[in-house]
This record gives sequence, structure tokens and C-alpha cells, in this order.
Amino acid sequence: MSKINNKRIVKNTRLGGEYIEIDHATGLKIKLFPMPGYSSAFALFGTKYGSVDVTFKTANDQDFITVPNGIAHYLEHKLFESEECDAFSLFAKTGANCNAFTSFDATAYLFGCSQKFEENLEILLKFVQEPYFTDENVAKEQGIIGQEIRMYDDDPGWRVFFNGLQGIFHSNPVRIDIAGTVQSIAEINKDLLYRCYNTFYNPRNMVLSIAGNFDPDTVVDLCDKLVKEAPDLKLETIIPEEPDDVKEKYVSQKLEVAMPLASLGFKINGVSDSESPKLYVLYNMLMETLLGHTSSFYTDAVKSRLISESNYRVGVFNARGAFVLTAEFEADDPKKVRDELIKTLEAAKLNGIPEAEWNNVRKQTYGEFVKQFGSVQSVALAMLEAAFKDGGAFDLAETAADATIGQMTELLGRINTDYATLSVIEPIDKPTD
Amino acid sequence: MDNNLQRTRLADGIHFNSFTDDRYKVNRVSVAFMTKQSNDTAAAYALLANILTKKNATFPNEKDFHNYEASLYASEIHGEAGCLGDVSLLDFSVSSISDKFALEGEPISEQAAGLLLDCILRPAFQNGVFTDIETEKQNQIRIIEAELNDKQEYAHNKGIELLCPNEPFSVNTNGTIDTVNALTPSTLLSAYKELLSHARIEIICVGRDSFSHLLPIFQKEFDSLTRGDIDPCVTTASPIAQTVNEVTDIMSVVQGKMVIGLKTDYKNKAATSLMNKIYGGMVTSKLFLNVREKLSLCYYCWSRYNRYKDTFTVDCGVEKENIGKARAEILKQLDDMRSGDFADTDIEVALMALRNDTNTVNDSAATLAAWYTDRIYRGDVIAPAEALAEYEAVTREQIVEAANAVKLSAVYVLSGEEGEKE
Repeated sequence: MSKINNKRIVKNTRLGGEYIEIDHATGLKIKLFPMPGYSSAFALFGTKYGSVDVTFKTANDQDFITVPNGIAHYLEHKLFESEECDAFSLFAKTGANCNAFTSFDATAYLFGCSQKFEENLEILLKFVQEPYFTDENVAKEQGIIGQEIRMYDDDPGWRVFFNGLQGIFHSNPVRIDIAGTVQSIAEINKDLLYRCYNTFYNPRNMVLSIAGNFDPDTVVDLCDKLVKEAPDLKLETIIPEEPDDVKEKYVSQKLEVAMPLASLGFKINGVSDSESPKLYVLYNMLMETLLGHTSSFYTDAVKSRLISESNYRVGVFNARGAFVLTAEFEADDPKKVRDELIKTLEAAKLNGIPEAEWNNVRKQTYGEFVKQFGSVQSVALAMLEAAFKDGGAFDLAETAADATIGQMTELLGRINTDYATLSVIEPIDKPTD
Repeated sequence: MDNNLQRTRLADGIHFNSFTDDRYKVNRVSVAFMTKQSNDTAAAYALLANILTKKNATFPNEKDFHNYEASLYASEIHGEAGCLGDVSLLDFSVSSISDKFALEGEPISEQAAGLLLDCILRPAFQNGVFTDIETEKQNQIRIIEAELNDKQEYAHNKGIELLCPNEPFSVNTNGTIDTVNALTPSTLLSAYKELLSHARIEIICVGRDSFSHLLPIFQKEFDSLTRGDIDPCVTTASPIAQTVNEVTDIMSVVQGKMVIGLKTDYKNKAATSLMNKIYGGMVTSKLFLNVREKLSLCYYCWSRYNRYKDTFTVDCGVEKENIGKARAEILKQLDDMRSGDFADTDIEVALMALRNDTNTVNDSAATLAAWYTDRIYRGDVIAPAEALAEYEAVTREQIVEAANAVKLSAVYVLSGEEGEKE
């Protein structure tokens, strides 16, 4: 008999699609979106465990413990290895592409294939559930991860963003690089890895999300066979309390760049985990309307050469306990751009949001979501991300389609332009500001 | 999947190609201009890719233009100046959602295709020339200056310049600061007119809905062009040199980059592709498993094969004290390929990966359009699945021959300030 506790079909008439949600007896959430006509399938096996989850407690612990930064990412690297071989080699034999990623609040292992789906899924389910850490293989990984950290140290786009997070947040762990630091990863050993693995890689904390060309019954059969039972650990994680204001209003670093690269972040406080997906869509629309490529601000700023046309984008950064509106740009005078961006937001509070332009952005945002549902990767990822926040894969598209100007006005009022950090990467040969 | 690309000649050197499949949510239309690549025209083409995609005669104001794109449900007009071997590929495209998904029943696809045609054929002229040229030139110069921000790509391009000096393939498709500065309204206009009259033009439509209604529209629009001699669009293999070009640049970087350039004159391109896969083209390749995994010398280390130019590049990110060791190991792995030191399972794995890649091409309108652009240029229009046969016919001996034909030709190093510590 199948180990299914609950099974639902989630339909969306506007987008013309449907997927299956299964609550597995092991606690694993399974999301299956068969896409007829497609040649490939894309599967993600993920855990709600990211770089911010460094302080946690289970029913077996007396108190909360704090582990070194970068351990979730380290674990991701190490899980690819088993006692006999690594997962890359196993997937190579089936021709599948495989990979993994660690974000601030999730880790996922994935494959894409157009053949041997069942074999690939079996490999994925097995290697993620069979950790193999030794003192030797853990020590060896420090070299590779150290090089990865140093590679990003030279990346101005990455540095400007992370320096910005360090300026915005006082204590939220998003201010630490996902991979940790060369110093923090030196503290990682096999016992810590096993402890984190056994805490967070529990099926109750995990999601399996698959889209494309595959048979849902095959997935359920394999999960019944391979997903291991685990006790409910009553897992609790803590994100440290964060003051409303930003830690520093201006941060800068010098790197090999031709012109200053900047990131301005507005800290939005009080956004709960459950409301964050909806606000993510709505704030993106607001930022695009007032400051994006369709706005008067952008056209005027490019024309007056206040900003460079390339590498300008506005958006929203969202992780557990962190919600930031962002504008990234290249400019000779980043502080002047910051002042103009703030002035534009404050003017909109007084004068209102241009409704016709906003409606165009609403259609644009909805159109982008429709496009997303034409890609097996995007669909699987959308289901995974939604599941970690107890939402549905169609929710974001529906939020965009049904958005109102009233919602925009309310959200604009929540922006405190005083809670802003400007992060700048300056060229090495230029004098500091 | 059968090859059901519909191909229709519209005029001399102009074809309309379409492929419909209801798996897609979008309809994608692209117009590709193919012509000889050169230092003289690269800056102009790069500027055209930008200037033609932000306004036109109907929407001369950029803000109105972008708002119209947004109102068509994210039907953004995209322009890109790239290359296929020695040939410049200036590609304009729009990807719009199928009308079926419009919130208010708008005919999005036809309007989006109309917007693309307006951009290409009816630019925003003032007094018969392009407007705001000086601002566009400054934008382009900033793009060129920003190349430095991505050290990996920067080093790769430097490696190509060293590998294929003075060949059209090594021309920077962004142009150079000097060639951008030299552009005038009249030279830009001439470059635009030259394209319309002499370039080979391929219109490629891939998407959910039938494109039959667009064919007469494109026929009418392109019929009105005055066409001259059509550019033959020839690429030649890069000649093998007797010496190795070596350059080291010093910059303030934490991690160095090395690009090793190689050339071949082996004629069996399928065997050479498989050789590249086994050598450095996949995560179980010799370079990945040995240089990165076993010896931890580089965070990334992979090879790319360009079948048009018969060139390879091995790119790696490496600490400055390991540059010498990494170079030696990368070349040792090539020697191992030459002496046949790889397993039959490596060939099977490479074939499986190629099968997977080609089977997946159809799942995105953009990747299928790129596939057909490439195959049309080669003059060998086949569906992705049909391309596998030539790889499956490759023997182990041919892979060894392919490896033995490879010659070291260039080494570019971007290093930190202290230089290499041996």
C-alpha cells in the first residue's frame, strides 16, 4: 500500500495547468507537475536549510547551538560523495545534468534529463539520504570551497551586493556570505556535518519537486521505497532579533572595476515568512513602476548620464527575516543617484503612483510568470520555493494578475527611506570618497 | 521529433522559418542579420543592437516604448551583437506570451511582431539619421569598460585574441573605445543601410501558435528592401601557428585566471566534439576530475571547442602559486587523451550527455531558435534528434586521432600583483 497521507490536485484555469501535491507518510512534501509534450524532466530534492540556519535546537538538545557559518553550503558539497563514488559519476552514466545549490534559506539537489528518469530519481533520492563524511574527505573540501570563496572575492557584482547586506543588517546571518569565510569553514568537521545533516535532512523538513516528462506513479513508488522514516525532531531555528534601522548607511570597497558599481537597499521591517512571497511580487511591481526601465526616473537618469544604461536593475531581496528593496547601478556619482532615487520615492508618496504605467507593469509581471510556466526548470523551482513557505506554485502569477493600485499605495507608505544603505565598489586607481 | 521547420524564401538572401508546437507558452520571433565580422563594423553593430531596441518611429520616446513593451505582457525587444565563427550575427528578437493567456484578450503576438518590425525597419530618425548618438556612444563605452568586471569572461576574450590574432573571430563584438568614439551619425546610418541591403537575413519563429499570419506581413515588409550583393558569410578555420603566444597581465585580483588556447586541423568534427567532452566538457571530464577534484588546483576548469574555427580554450580559475602546476596538469591530461588513456565508458558517458543535451533543445523556444539559427548558417538544417547519428558513428580511434591533432597555440594568464610563486 502506498504511503500517501494526502493527495490534492492544484488547478489554475488562467494559466491552464495543474499539479499534484502529496503529503508522504514520512513527512516529505511531494509536488508533481507533468507537462505533456515536453522531452525533459527536472527534479529538485530540497531541504528548508540555508546559510542563515546556524542557530537551532531539536527535541534532543538542552539548548540552542550555533554552528560555523557556511556549513549548509559545505554539507551540499560533501553530499555529492558516497563511500564508492560521487553523484556526478552516477548521473553521468545516465546522461543527466546534475547540480546543487545553497541559498540563504534552502539547499536543493537537482537533475535534468530526457532519458532514464526513474534511474535518475533513484540516484537523487539515495545520495541525498546517504551522507558519507570522513576526516579526510571533509578536510579536502576546504581547498575547493576556499577557492570558491576567493573567486567571489574578485566579483564586483557579488561584493557590492554582500557588502550592502552587511551594511543593512546588524545581526541577521544574511550578512555573512553563503559559503562562509575561509576562517569559519576551517572550524567545520565531520561531526558537525553529521549533526546538521541529521537535524535538517529530515523528510519532514524536505520537499521533492518535479516537472516535465515523467510518470507521477513512478515517483510515488520510488518515494515509498527509498524515502527513509525519521523521528519528528521538533526542530526550531532562530534568526537573531534585528533592529529597524540599518547598521551603516554607506559601505565601500575598492576592486578592479572601470567605474563605480553601487547597490542601494531599503530595509523593510516586519515582513513575515508567510506574507513575503506576495509582498515580493507586489514590491517588485512597485519598484519597476517608480524606478525601473518603464519609469521616468530611469529614462531621465540615463539621458542625463546620471547612471549607466547597462547593469541597472531594481528588485527585491528576500530571505528568512530579511526583506530589502534594491536598486543596482553603475554611476560616476553613486551618492547623487541614491539621493535622486530617494527623492523619487518620496515624491510618489506625495503625488501618487502613475496608474497607467503601473497597469503596464502589472501585465509585464504577469507575462513573466506565464513565461516561467513554459520551462520545466522554472516550474519545479517555483513549486519548491512555494512549498517552503506553505504556498502554491500559481500564487505569484495570481498575485500579479489581481494586484491593485491600492495595494501599491499601501506598500509605498511602508518604505522608510531613512533605512537605506548605499554600497559602492570603487575603482582602485580612484581616490576614496 | 521530426524536422518540421517550415522555410520560405522571401527575397534574395532572406528566409522566413517557422516551427510551431503547443508545448510552448510563448511565441518567439527573431530576425538575424549575418554578415562579415570586422573591427570596422563591430562598434556600429553593437550600437545598432542597442539603439534599435529602445525606440522607433512610432515610439520615439524611450519611456513610451518600454511601457508599450510592458503592456504587451513583457514582450521585450532584445538586440544582441554576437558572432558565429568569423561571421557577425546581429540578432533582434521578441518573445511574447501566447494570446491565449492575455488577461484582456489582446492579440499580443501580432502586436509584438509588429513592434519588432517597426524597430528594425522604421527607426527613430531625426533629419534622416539616428538620434542621441553621443549618449549611445557613452553607454557603449561604459559597456566596454565594464568588461573588466567579469574576470572570467575578460580573461577568456583575451585568450581568444591571443589564439586568433587578426582574425574576425577575435573581434570584440562590443567594439573598442576607439571605434565607438569614431562613429558618426552618417557612419552609423551607412552600417545600418549596408546590413539591410547586403546581410543574409534569417527570420526564425518558434512558438505555440501558427505563424502563417505573420508570413505575408514579413513578405511585404522585406519585399520593399533594396538588396545588393549578399554577403557570402564565410568562416575559415584558424591556421595552426608554429609558436605559442604567451601573455601575462597583472591586476589586483585574489584569484588568477588562465586560458590555454589550442588548435586542430582534424576534419572529423563529431570526433573532436566527443574528444572535448571527455577532456574537459563535462563534470566527469579529465580536467574536472583531476585538475579540480583530485588535485584541488582550480575551482573551475573546463574546455570549449569551436567547430567553426577548429579551436579549443581551456579556462580555469587558479591561485597564482598554482598557475604552473595547473598548466602542466592540463597539458598532461591532453597527453593522456593522445595516448588513449581513457575508458570506453567515458565515450558512452559523453554520448549520453550529448543525447540528453540534444533531446532537451526542443523544450525551450529560445534554445530551439538558437539551434536552427546555427544549423541554417551551416546549411544543414536538421532537427536536434537527427544530429545524434554523426556522434554515434565516432570510433575510439578517431577520438585518439582528434586528440593528437590538437596543438598548443596560446596561453593567457591574468595574475595577482606578486606574480607566480614556484
